[in-house]
Amino acid sequence: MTATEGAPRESLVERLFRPVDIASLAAFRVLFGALMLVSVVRFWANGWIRDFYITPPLHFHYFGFSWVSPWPSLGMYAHFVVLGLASALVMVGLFYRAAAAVLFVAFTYVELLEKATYLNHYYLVSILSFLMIFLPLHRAASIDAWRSPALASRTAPAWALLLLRFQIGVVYVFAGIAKLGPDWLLRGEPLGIWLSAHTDIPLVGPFLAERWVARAASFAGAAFDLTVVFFLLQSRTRRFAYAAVLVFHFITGMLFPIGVFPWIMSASALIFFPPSWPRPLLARLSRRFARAIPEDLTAPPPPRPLGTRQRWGIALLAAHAIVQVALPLRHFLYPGNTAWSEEGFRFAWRVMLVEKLGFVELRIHDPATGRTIRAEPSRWLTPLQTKMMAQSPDMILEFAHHVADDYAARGKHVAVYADAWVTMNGRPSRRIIDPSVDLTTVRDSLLPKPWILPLDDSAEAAATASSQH
Amino acid sequence: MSLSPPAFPSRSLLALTLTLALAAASCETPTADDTAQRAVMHDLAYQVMLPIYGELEKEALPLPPAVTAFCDAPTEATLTAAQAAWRAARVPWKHAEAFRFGPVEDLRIGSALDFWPARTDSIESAITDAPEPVTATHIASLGVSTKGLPALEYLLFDPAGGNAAVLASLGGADATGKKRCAYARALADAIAADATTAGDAWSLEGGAFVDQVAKAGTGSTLFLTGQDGIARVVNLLISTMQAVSENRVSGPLGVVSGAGPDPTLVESRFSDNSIDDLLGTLQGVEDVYLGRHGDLSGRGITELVAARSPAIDSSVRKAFADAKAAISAIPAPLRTAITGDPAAVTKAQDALRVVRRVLSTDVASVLGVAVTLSDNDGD
Repeated sequence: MTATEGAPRESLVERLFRPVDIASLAAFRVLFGALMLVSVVRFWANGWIRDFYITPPLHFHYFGFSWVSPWPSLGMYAHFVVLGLASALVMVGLFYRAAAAVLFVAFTYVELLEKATYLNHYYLVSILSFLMIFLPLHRAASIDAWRSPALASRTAPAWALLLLRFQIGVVYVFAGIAKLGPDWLLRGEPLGIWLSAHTDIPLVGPFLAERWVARAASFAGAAFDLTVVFFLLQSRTRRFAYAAVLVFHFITGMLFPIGVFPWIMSASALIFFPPSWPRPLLARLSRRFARAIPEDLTAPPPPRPLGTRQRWGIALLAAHAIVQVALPLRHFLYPGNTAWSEEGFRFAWRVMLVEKLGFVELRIHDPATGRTIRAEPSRWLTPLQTKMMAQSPDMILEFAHHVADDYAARGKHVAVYADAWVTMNGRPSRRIIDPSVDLTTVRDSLLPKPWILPLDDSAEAAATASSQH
Repeated sequence: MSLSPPAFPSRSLLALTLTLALAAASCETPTADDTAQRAVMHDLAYQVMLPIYGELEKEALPLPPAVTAFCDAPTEATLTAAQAAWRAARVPWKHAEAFRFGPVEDLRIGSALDFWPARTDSIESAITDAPEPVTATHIASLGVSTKGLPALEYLLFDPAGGNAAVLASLGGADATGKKRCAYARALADAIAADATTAGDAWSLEGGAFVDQVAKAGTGSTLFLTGQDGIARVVNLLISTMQAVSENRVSGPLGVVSGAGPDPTLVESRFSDNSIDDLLGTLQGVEDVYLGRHGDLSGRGITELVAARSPAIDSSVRKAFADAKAAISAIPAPLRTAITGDPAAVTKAQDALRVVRRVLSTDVASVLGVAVTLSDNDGD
């Protein structure tokens, strides 16, 4: 739906409340619910409920969320049943707002349980499910609308569509901005490492170990992320841009273990199409389906003047937008390379930017005996936790505190030091934590962490240059 | 509203396409592909792994006649010969530890050959309970703590009493001595049989497991791609180095438990072969990395690493050299060095830890190998 030519120019606020076809929003709800349902089933089938939340004797927490802990064994499975049920209800649009709220709370709880399983697309799911609580996505193609015809609507306020477009757009744009660094653009890493591990792929495989391919792919990836939203918004380029979205996510899905992320992004990018895009598709499939999204209801006029509710709504929308722009930029508040220190790295759409591997041993010093012993993380952690902890300074700190607490529970008050080495994007490994710092004396905070050693590329400059061929 | 009709691609997309096309045109025909990984797997199979299993079989076969010769005529000379046969069999087995997978694990040969540390109480009980005559079949039915190279070592060596004590106990003319020697002979038979089984399983004439490795990505059902094979091999090297640095050095040194040095945790503590064991395993790991063994030479992991980062390849080679030097500098035997010269042992431990670290971080990362085999999504 477009503004009528010749009509007075709409203000931004008026445009937010202008009615738009609800079809694409309903399609978004169905696809999102379906993908979440698939995710829950996949999580269950892979044994991840047990592996990630039941088996580990301890969990890594996000700052401020150490109070979140998993249910007892059966409780976690029951939790995922609820999560799956909420996803299904969102998909079919039954008890939609309650289901969306349950989906948000249940999913975010799972995400908060274990920092070692942090993924950008989990964060995206949390945000989208949160927003969906407030979006009227159930007023078409839903059981709610079928059961309550008064609820059914052909339109939705434009802000609902714009909010989803903004949220998906933020992912792509900040993912693109994050790629504007020397590792990605000049060294072609980490794509160089990842692609060279897939040279067995038919036809293109022989090219994947070539350095120029990694560099070209890096440029293409950055250009894609930075421009795809713009091209999706233009009617002339939309189809090509969406084809690029599909190709991009198909390739990344083939090459990298990123689960349902490509599916979520491919489905979400449809939100950039004209809001009525599902109608011709549904009409082709079935008249009955097409009727699920009513066309014959009168579009409500935009509210004028704005009521208190609308004003609050606009304020909250603005606040959300500010937070979503500020979070990815917060790493500028920290010194050094955010991919190395991981200060301001999470919740910032810094997607697939690093190939890191770490090696950590804790030195535990007992002042009472003067004896120092070495601790293998695998004594406390699962392989996944060990791997993720070893490359993340904040997790190493939390682990050091876990170990110190473990000793304290046995009546020993120890000092804990970390010999932590990390390799990032093909650089030779180097220390990431000051080995002379007793980590038990350090409290986690959002302030810069002086005990993280900076990534100094000067020593490797020559070696790096020689590895470029 | 219908979708917009197809439009001409934007200038930016065109520019991007053009850039990629130009980049492609300006570069040479690709020379590197999965054949690099496959070639390494092929050479590792035929130039390193198969020869080592061949040596294991070859060196294990003289063990039964040597022990039999001692039992038939217990003298210093026959004892020394049996001990030498034990040490000789130990060498290829330590090399093979670098890639402990396939038949040796599937058939549980690894544990049967080398369960460690030796549990002397269990061995003594097994000797007492053994039927007469003691056969290799009986030995095969026993738990791993009562057989294999460590059990035979316990019978053939006595670090406190020396060969005289062994001659008195194992070579004793009484029924107890005879039974001990019969047990030792059966142990040697079982070791040789296990080594033969492992060697046969690897050989082309036998189970042809060598081709499961050599044909990674070209018909192997074990490794569907060359990269799968490389990932497995690198992980094997890492786990071997973890076992060496933590279990065999840190453990006896007491830096893990905090309980102080414990000689009973030293590998091969009866024969004082500990340092040679460490060097042997490290040699096996290095051979796989370099793709060579003895006079044989092929393509190793080093080629893949050097192609991505010569700096990392150099650091790995240096780490191997430093570790070998540090281990060699330990004043033998290890069981006394952990208390007499803990600094030297600690230095070796640190050097071994560096090897483990560069393999598990630098090498794994640069080769795109997942160290912990988790299939959790990762974006």
